[in-house]
Amino acid sequence: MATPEPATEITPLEYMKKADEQWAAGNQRYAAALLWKAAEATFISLAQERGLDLDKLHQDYMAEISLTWKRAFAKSQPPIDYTGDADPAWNLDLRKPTGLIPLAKALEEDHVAPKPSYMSYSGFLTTAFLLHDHALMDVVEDYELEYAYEDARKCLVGFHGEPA
Amino acid sequence: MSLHNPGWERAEFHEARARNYRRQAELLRERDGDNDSAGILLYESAKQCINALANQWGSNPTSTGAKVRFLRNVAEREPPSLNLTGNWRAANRLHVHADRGHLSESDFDRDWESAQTFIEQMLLIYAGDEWSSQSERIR
Repeated sequence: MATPEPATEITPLEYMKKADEQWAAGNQRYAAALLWKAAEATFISLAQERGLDLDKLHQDYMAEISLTWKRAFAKSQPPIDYTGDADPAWNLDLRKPTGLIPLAKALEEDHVAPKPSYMSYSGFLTTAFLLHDHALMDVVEDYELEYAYEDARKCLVGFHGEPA
Repeated sequence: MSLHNPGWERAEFHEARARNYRRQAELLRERDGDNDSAGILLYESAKQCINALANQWGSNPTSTGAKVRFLRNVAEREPPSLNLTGNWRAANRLHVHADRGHLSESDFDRDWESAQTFIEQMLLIYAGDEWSSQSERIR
């Protein structure tokens, strides 16, 4: 998948604000989708600021995965091209860009990049991925979802501050 | 460690299960190439690690929700760089994958690594606390 365009139309803060509104209204799944979008936009901006190409990062990362694991993956059930059943009315592009995993690794090693104040980049990304999973498939239990939302939000506030 | 304390006995039981499930998960992946079953076993291993530490600390969380709440307490005590909560969520994604088969190769590989890190760190915390409590008793 090509590197997505920067999220110029809606800023992470705007996504956060909408997410909070939906969370307060009891629409947790929609809120998870919106917070994922805020996290995605944040990671893409970080890559762009550093001139990092997500596709190139992804290709390098895949080359690193050992042959043993590649064989294991090939023998397993093929992954479903799961588009989930997210509500089209949300009008959100929930396709996940490639290259975020090696990006998080690169950011961990970058001594200049701003750090999420609350978790590592890797932890922030996994948390955001879980919110993405939930947005697509409604799979995360309430207790886990509440903490994941809270943690991702704390990271986002660390980067962008509180939404107005 | 005393065998007369039921909490410690439970802790040892869960620690052994955690190690066994992880070993079986690795075998499934390496020998049989069965990522899906390996992933669910690694998730179970991660849960057993939480149980072992909780038992050692005198609690016995039974529901997964209670385990997660206990883990948050542990994560607050430990350095954030351990990324305990984030790595637990990677194990959680392996669990979801067992049902939905949604992880790509790169996602699965990365979540596998993170779940392994979680298990290793939890077992280290467990071992460190066991050593401390034994030293306390000797003194």
